[in-house]
Amino acid sequence: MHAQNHFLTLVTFLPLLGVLAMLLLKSDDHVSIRRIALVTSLIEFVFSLGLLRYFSSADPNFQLQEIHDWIGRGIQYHLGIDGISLFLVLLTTFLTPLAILCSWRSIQKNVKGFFISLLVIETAMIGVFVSLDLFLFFVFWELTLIPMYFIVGIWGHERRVYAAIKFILYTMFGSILMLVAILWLYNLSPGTRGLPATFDFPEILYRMSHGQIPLGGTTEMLLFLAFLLAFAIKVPLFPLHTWLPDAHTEAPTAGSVILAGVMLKLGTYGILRFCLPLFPHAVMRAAPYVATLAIIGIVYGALVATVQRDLKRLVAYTSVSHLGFVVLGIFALNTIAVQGAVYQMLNHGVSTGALFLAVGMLYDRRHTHDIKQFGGLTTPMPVLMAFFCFIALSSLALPPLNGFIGEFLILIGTFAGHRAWAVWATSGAVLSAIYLLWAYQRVAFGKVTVDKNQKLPDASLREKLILVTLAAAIIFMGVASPLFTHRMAASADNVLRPFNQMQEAMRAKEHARAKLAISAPHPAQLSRFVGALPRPEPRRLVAPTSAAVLCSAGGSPAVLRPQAALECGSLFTLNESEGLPLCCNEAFVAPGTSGHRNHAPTPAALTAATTAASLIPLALRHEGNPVPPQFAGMGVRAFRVPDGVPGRDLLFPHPPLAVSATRVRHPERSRLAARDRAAEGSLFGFVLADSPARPAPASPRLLGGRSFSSDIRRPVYRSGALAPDLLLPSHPLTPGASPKSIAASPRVAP
Amino acid sequence: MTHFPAEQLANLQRVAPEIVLCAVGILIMIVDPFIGAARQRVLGWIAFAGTLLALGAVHIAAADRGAAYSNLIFADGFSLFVHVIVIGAAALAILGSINYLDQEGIQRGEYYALILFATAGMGILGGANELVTAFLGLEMSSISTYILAGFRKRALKSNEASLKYFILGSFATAFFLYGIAMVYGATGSTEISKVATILRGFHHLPDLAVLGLGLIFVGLGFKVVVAPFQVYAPDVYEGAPTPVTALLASAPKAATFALMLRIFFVAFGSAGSLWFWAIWISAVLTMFVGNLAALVQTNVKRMLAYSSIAHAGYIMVAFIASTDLGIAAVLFYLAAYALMKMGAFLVVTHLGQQGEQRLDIKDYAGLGMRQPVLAACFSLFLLSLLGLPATAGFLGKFFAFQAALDSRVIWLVVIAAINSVIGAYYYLRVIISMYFWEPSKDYSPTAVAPALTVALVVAAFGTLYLGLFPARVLLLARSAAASLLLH
Repeated sequence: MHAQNHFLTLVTFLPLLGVLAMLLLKSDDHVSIRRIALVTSLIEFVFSLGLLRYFSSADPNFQLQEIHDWIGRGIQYHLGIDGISLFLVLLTTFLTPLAILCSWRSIQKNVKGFFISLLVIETAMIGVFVSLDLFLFFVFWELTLIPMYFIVGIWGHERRVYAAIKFILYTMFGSILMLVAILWLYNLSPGTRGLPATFDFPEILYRMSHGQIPLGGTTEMLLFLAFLLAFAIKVPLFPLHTWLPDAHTEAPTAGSVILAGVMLKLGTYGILRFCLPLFPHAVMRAAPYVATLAIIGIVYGALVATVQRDLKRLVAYTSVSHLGFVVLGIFALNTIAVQGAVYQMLNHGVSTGALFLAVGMLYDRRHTHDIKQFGGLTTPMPVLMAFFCFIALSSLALPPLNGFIGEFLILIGTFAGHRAWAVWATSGAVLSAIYLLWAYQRVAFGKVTVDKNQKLPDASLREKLILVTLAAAIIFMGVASPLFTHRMAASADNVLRPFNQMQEAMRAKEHARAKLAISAPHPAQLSRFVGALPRPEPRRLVAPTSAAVLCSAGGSPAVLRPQAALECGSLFTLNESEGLPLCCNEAFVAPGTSGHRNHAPTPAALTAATTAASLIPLALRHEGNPVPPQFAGMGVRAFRVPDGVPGRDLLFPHPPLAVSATRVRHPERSRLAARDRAAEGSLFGFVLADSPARPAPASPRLLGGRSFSSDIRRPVYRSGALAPDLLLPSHPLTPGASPKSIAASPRVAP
Repeated sequence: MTHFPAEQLANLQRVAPEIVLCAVGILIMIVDPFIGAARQRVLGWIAFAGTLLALGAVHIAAADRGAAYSNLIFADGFSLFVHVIVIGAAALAILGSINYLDQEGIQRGEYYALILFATAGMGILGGANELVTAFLGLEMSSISTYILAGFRKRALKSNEASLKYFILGSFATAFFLYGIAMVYGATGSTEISKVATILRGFHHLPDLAVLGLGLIFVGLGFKVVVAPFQVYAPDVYEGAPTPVTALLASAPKAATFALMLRIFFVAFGSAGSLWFWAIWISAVLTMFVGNLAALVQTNVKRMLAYSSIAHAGYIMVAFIASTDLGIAAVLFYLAAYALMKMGAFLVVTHLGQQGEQRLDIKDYAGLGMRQPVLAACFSLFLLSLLGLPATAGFLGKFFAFQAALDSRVIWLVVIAAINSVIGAYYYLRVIISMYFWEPSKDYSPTAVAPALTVALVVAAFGTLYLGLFPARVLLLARSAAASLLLH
């Protein structure tokens, strides 16, 4: 365990000290309350800068970790940061004082409650960024909701109640399914080795990346979707964005700043932190769809922003568009794009936060957001409008300001892998210039159209302070981006590691296919392995109508003891998902026909299996090879032997390869499944014979009614021995039981 | 059976909480006539002291666990855990009643005595190892609460509540009794651990036992308020005096769930597949009925009544897990639920004002500005009922879901999760009213009485404590679950 370091705890809970102090004050002592809030948030900011000092940019792991037992049952208090969360924490602590400062005069009702809410939400948001325990993360995640609910509902504008309830119900709906997914993940976390279940994120990640928690494709996808839904609502991803314009428009300025500046980032952060590393295969499969939604969001958000009459609503829709860029960058699954996405998260926080602040300053003067009520504002307020212009330029990504760096990184990163995505997304960048500049033009230039605007006061000292700080940040982030990116590079790589590994594995396989020569194991080793296999319950020796072969690819045919083979074969028969893979060195044949026990294989199965062995090298070389006619309707595949199969390393050195031939019922589905498996590296080759026009075999169903396309990574084996449920007959089979009756009987509980 | 004094002493020790409760109850009845009408509230404090004594007696019972009176009743970890919940709930209800009864002009000694008798009955339910003993406990608690529900005898609604509760409750207990008879017919015994042994000997459960289990489920389902036996609850909860509602919503539910656990897991431990779908369907119905009906309520008391139906559904989710994890989750949920529900109803007690007039959601408008501390307390209870993290309610749901998922009951958990979001709406509506609406002019806040303050502080503190540091209670719940499965 790491040395305990309490720095993150301090940073997280420091704002609560300010809350305590405020609770002691009388609620009508507004001046002291404001001062305490401001001072607390400033101390917090300075304090959080200390993180930079302790942070080592070379280390891709979580740093400044702190672990305590909390509730037991695998729930810990575990904090830590990496290069991604570091800057998001800083963004939070940077924006909070500004939010407090901008509410100095505009909040007059229940001042105490307001500033308490702001500080509580700061703690909750930092907590989300630094917690490394899924339970703790969820607690903080939900805790951000309530203060924001109050901020919108109490201090918001006319339709505040509607906006507040919409906001909170939307978000809760997403997060409750995430809670179910977290619990499900916890249940899976013991994995194949039966380790203690845990909510600890790094631990789960470690187990997953070492293959100790094999997720089925469907399970992984469902878990991924549950997490994604929670995050996508928060981001918000089109079409889940409808809460956002209402909440942003109705919130008071400080609420909008926090909401747009930090809370939306909770979503993108969640995707980066949890979805990508935990569910890489699902992410690979879902990436095109999510990216499409992101692009729709970019363009749609921009178009809708263009036609808004309400200045604040316009800014709100820019968030939909800009966060679309971030999501696109993440799902481009490329180091540059991901770095760009993280950087864009920070930029959006600063720029959009600044836009909301500027809009809030206009609102303080005129109490309206209607663009028509403005016009020619440069005349009475040259300073304020100059800053406004500067902020708008930063938001529309003008070089060398901050927005440019992020969008540029995202676009070139995306372009490298997916040109079409980048092209579509670029249109959003163009549109952003249109809606921002057009809106600015209508507000700032021309003659002063409304009389009230003639004598508006220019920016006050407090406002100048806010604007100058933001402008400085915008310039600094624009020109000094390496200071940020070099700290987050290692972490971004870390997030993408599974994807890079997949790609490397693909590449390595390309090479390996050329020289697929692996020494066969010694026969003595082989028979020892077969002898060590547990003997199955004889009554379960029911073979399917398929045959399969395991081989260490390329060896010459040699036959094992038939009896051992029979046992062996029947044993593997129980693996529903595989049909019938059979262990053997070179070529081996399953026992056979359906409905009988302990019988010799059918001639068809025999031929299929033996030929499969010779066919596989062929298959590996070229997927489109013609297939011998006796293989009509059969699928032959070569796949990785799962971890934990006894004797795997002994029998199948490099790569642990198995071949199986199965009768295929849904050729198209099988082909797709095989392509997916090949993409993730667990399937090496696949041959599917075109089925000629002939009647289907009498009993085409495999055991359990599953056919070829089911998931081949199911955790059927455990280390050391076969899973007990494979050995114990769960239902007494009568000697003449047909596979159909097996299929109908209840499934063995895992 | 034995006359050996040490054994007798142990027997007494193991039912010490019931003895204390009944003794204090009888004491109150005796003292009642000698105390003037103006000073009846003293009896309330005596009753409160009685509950504290009973809590102490639980401690005594815990010192020497085991079966009492030749296996009629158990003082095991499970029973003690349930005792603490019901006695604690009774204590809080008594604290909430003292001023309420004054305000309603119905300050009577028998009110407190009845609460104590009801509590003793519920304690028996928690420990009973004999179905007939359980029936006694059920009757004891039911009859007392029938009277309590009608205690505001000049209020029409209270009368209606009492009558409805009595008639339907009698039906339910009759069902329960029939169930016992069937079980006896099938096994020749009514002792739960013996029934378990006998039933284990069968390959297939005898039809009579199945029928018995079904009838028992009907009878107990009525008491814990699960669909489709929930129809009476909103009316009864609305009509009963609010502190009584608080008690009704928390304590009998805990005690009856405890009995259900004992019957289903100990006596019928082998019949899991038999009742799985019955409970599953009942849980889904309960959650949807409770939550959907609560959405449209404008009367806060009624809304909380429907919410307590919904919560029975969540408890069933933990129940269905049918593992020690699930039992522990049920127990934890019951403890958390008793605290937060009690707290919420006590706030309603105070805000109802004389004659329970101010119960509409509109009457809570602007409470956040007028009485910030009380509003904050109420928000805490509501958010806990909603299941917000860092409160007891969240962890209750969390452990329930966890246990169910552990038993691979996935879809029920998803349904429960969706339900808890539906539920969020009506809890938040009260908060909206308290904080987002302008205060109504005609409302003059009254100070919270000290007794009620104590009760609210305990409930609020407990809700937060269970939400942040549940480890201790969880450990107790787990050992309680283990002790249940031991038999």
